[in-house]
Amino acid sequence: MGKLACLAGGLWLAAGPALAATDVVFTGTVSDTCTLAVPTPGIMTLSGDGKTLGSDQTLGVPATVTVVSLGSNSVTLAAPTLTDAPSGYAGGETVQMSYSGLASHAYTSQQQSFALGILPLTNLIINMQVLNPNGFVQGTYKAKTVLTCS
Amino acid sequence: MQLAAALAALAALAATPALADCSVGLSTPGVLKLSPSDSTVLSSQAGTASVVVVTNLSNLLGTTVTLSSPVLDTWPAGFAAGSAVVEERYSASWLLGSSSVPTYASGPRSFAVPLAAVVTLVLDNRVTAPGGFRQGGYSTKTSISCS
Repeated sequence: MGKLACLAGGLWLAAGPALAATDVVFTGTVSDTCTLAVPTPGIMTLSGDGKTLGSDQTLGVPATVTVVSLGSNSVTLAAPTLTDAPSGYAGGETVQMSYSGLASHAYTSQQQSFALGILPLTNLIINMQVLNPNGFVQGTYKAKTVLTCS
Repeated sequence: MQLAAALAALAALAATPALADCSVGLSTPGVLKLSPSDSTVLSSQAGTASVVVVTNLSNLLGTTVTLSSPVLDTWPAGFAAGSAVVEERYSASWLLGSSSVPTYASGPRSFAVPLAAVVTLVLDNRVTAPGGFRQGGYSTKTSISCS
């Protein structure tokens, strides 16, 4: 009977463990997208000579725009404009913007654009300035550029 | 005579193909989705994969379930697949037991399961590409085996 048990054990071992397996597949699709956000709007302050209102003046704050791009996109910054000024302001200003970080350009009044490829979350820093040789009357001013990404 | 019959029966058993000690069945495939907060991460948090492993009585020493290292299986043209890191994590449970590794890692993993158990395995895959992902379809694969 002992021999029988040994033989049974031997045969069981000879058969060996059998293996079962399967592949687990994960699938996903990435679409062409571009997103923009403005976590930090800009603040313009007056220059010492009173002729420049700018975000790169003392105590001014440039605007920060975050950009995420998947695929081929381009960012366009529209020509900057003065959108708000106090009553009594006579006009005659020049509005300019500059940007750095993701791409860079010196102060300009013209529309700008640049191409993007695959881009993780990246900052674009925008400065704005309003130049007026006649100066500014007291009050609140707003200038803007419109960013589009497509 | 009885000994001869027993020997004949054992020989017949040995001659038949070995029965698997376990079986592996895929219940739900995984779904990869780009992280809303990090465009360099494609993960299965929106759709984990589920696998059922059933062990039987044939392996008296218990069963080992093995998860291979995950691989990036398909990707769109132009994507730098060589720079992508593919990782996995899992959580498995059965009556009176469990095993899990909640931290993503690339290496293969294995764990022991007692005989006659039904194991539910939930698996996540994650792909990290420092340069982000090009538009198109991606798939990853993990092979799960038991023996």
